[in-house]
Amino acid sequence: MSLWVDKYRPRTLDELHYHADLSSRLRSLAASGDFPHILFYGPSGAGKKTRIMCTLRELYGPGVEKLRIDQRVFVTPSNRKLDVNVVQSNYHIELTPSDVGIYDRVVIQDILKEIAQTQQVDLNAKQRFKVVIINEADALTRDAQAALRRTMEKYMNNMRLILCANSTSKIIAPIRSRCLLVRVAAPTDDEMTKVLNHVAKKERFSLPSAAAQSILTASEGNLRKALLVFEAMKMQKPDFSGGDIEVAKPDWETYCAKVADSILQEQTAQRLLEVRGKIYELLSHCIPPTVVLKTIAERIVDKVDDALKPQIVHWAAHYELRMRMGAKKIFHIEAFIAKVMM
Amino acid sequence: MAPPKSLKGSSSTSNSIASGSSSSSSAPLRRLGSMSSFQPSLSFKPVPKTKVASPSSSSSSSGSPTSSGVKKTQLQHQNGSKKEHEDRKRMPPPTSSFTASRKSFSSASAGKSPNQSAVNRKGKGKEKEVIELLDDDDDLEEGDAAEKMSAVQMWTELYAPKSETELAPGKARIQRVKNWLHESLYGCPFDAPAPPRGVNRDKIRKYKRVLLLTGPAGTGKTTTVRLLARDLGVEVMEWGEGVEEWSLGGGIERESSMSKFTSFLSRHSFPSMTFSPNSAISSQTAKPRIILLTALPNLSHLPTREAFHAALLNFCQDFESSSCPMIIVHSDAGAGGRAEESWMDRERGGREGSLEMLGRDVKDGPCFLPLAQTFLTKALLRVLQTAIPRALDRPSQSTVQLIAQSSHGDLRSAINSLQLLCAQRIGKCRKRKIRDGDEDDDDDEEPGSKKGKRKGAIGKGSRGGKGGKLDVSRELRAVLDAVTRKEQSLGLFHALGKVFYNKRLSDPSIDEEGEEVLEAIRRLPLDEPLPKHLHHFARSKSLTQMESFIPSVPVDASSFALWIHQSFPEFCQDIEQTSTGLDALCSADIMRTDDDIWQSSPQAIAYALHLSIRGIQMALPSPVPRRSQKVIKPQFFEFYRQERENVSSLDHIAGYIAKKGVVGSNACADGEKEAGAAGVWGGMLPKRIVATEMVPMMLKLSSTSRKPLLPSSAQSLILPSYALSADRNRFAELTAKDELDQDENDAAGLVDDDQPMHPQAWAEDLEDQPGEGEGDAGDLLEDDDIMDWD
Repeated sequence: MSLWVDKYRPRTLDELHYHADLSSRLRSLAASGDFPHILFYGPSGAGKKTRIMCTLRELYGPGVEKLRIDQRVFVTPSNRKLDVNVVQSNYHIELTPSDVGIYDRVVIQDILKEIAQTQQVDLNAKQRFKVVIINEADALTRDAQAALRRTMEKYMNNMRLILCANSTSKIIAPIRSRCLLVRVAAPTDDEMTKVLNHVAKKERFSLPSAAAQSILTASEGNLRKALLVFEAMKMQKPDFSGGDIEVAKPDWETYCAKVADSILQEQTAQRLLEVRGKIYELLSHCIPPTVVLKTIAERIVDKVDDALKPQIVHWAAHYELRMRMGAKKIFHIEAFIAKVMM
Repeated sequence: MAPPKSLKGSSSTSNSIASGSSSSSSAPLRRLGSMSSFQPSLSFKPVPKTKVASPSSSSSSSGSPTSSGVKKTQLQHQNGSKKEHEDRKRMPPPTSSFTASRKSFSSASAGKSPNQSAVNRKGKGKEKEVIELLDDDDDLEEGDAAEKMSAVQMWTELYAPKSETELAPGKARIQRVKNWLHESLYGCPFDAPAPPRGVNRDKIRKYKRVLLLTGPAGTGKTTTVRLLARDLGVEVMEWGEGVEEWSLGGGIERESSMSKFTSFLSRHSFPSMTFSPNSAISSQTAKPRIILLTALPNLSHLPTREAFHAALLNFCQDFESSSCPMIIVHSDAGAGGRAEESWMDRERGGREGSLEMLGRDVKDGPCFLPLAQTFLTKALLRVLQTAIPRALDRPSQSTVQLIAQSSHGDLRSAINSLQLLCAQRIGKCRKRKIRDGDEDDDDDEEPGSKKGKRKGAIGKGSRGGKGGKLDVSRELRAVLDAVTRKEQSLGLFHALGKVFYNKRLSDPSIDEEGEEVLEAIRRLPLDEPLPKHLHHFARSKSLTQMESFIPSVPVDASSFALWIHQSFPEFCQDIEQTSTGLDALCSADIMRTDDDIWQSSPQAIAYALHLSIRGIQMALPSPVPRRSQKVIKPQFFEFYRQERENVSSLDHIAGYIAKKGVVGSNACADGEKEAGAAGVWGGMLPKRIVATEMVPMMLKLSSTSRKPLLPSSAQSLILPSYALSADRNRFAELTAKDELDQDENDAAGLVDDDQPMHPQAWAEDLEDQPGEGEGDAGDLLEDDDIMDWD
């Protein structure tokens, strides 16, 4: 079985439910035969990747869905071996260089050079160029971005880049200026409801509007999350009956909320020690520390007096900055908690 | 005591004798040696005949003062070479002469007494530093030549093990080395009967070309190899970094050490040539040979490393039946004791790193661990028994144990300190005889002893640190403090205690402190009163003397910060103090990272340590309320290990999801549009999203629908249920009782910084420590060592 998120993902530009303007623009771009480098940006779960795949399909036809997954090995100058998963078809290749941290430059250089130097072999291909999709482009290091910038110009003949990022602010200006910027905004509530209802219809049941509303508030404009929550709720309570609809949130969110509540309950060193164990638990389950800090801070801000809110946000920002600079994340999260307790 | 000049002179004489020429020709020979492309190989022609030391040389050497005089006049005659000798004085003696002496010693060890003098004379160059330490006793020792000899000669060489049973490392480990050696030479393990001659032999030998022995300094790696080689009748060709030629000055064209290395390899990888026409037979009769690499080139330099790897690879590939194996001895001593991000280093490097350093093709041999205390004590006692014939003169058992303890598993340093200690005792005895002093030897609190006083403050700290059960006098400790090469480290427990209890001059309970410490603090100049706006920073004087305390912190800065972080909130009275302390830790943490600004600064780590300790002491209340707080092992290590496991399973899951997507997408492309069963999504998701969105929800889904969406490894990513006030007892408490073991463990962690201990392993080590006595020090070792107990 597959998740609804995957099952009902639009596969052509025509199937997309919202941002119709954007879809038509992408369509005409793909038809024009002169395709620029594109930088898709927008919040998580807004449909960037879906639109990228749809555009590719528009460019190359259904052949682009014939995928294979490769594990590539790269060797850094310091002789370290890196394994990177690469998904590719005959027409495109997709990679997430930020998975390898500071070595992303090596991956970018090697792959791009390789792609750029091989001509399109398929004579029936609609386009002369191949497409390289780079996920999480805003997490690339400066070095990698610099490497990208050079190759973008050099290999324009054989290759187009599609970058995918959450925000453009961390992408260096030279890259931004070489790309067509495409913003994929988060869907509005109406649009999301439309999508949810569409899914419900396909699954042959009807979604009560109250439930839809609670899903919308829980998912905060993230359609992927909304669909996941939706499916989980459907699994737990198939008929959406009853007045109080419990939204199925990810565990770690509830966990963070509980941490925030414990902080507000009692402000002692003893409590701090108890909370520390919980933070460790969250971190060791691969929840990114920034997300932990943010979630806890938001929950606390929700609960406290207005007068305290700005201060809490201020300290959250302060310690998140330090956390990014530092090595031991726990110190900073805990320092924030202690500050809040004061 | 002989002045350093004469030492040098005599060492160079020894060299010339070893190479079989008269002493007058020593200078030209030396120059030749320094010009030659590879010095050690020159002087390291095995010299089995040194036994027959020429009468003239032995006479000139037995009384150093006279010999030095002779040498001096000689020097003056050789005007041309004088400058060169001057140069040589400034640098450590060449390894070549040292190794030569050692070799000649080991080959001559059967008959000891006649040629001991010759050996002594040769060993001197190495000892210079120790001799200078000894010089208060000079005048007293002049009379007794024999006694002097025994004091001057390094015990590490003089009483080096002579048979396999006397070797200090564990038997199994030695056996492994021995088997390897045998296999690589003869193509079969030591115990097995020799297989019939032929191809068969070379088959095994082909894959046994390079052995890597690692371990901290002074654990007997080189000694083991030398001794085994001698037993098997193997000739050892040694490559070590000799004196750098450029430092010898002059515009001599120099060869890079790498090209020297390659040429050395090509020259020596076959048994020595004989000139008989039918070489097939002669190679049978020639002694087999091994190449011993004791010093590696600068491998952090990339081109050098590549060249080194290429040379090794070449060596491994060029196999003929007559070529000889290589043993690389690499002590990971470099990083020991430095306060740095050792666990981070381990994470990056570790065993993987050391292998990488040497190239992939190197067989990874046994890793010598720091010796356990019992082994050390055993070895020390053996040395003592041979060194000092009269049992009365020997230092007490507890002294030996103390030395063993303080040497952190380094046998060489332990023996050195033992020797120095005994020398002191002998000197002191004589002093007392002259003064008609009192009898008791061990327990006197000699008031005039400068050392005792000077080291008083530290001595006290280290007594605590070493678990002062052993009944050894303060003076002895002071001597040991002066002797032992490594800085005495406080036990972790005591170091943390010093921070947490934050004792200050105004404390009511101040009387418990030693009067000495208080006195020292009171003598410090008074602080100027702070201006008004800074008034809240005013604190009374701390009893922790930072300058002596900080170097004695037993673990590296970041681990220490973790320990502090784990337990210090309990010592605070209110949350404000906790917050201030945590702020200090945060700031310190920022300093420790690989940021551009700090990366280049070696001070950053030291600053960070200062900041975390001082910051915490600023934040803590004074006096700290005592309510039986516990010091607890940081949870960090455990959770860090867990995190790494989870990250790898997350990787796996991400791969799984991607693969499923690819399959589904292919199915769609094939037109099975309504197959529907498989996913359609054909891309990759960033890991962050997989971790925060996909996995939690998919887990939820699969738990309700009981359809497996994810591989089973995802189960580890489920968060446990949220319950406060749980599991405080889950974590190992650190107490003074454990501290002895703790000390050992930490010491191990420090000494073998490069040893492949990942942080998890380290954490496990801390975790697994048993609660009782010192006998459990063997815990660090592997099974085979424990077998040696009975």
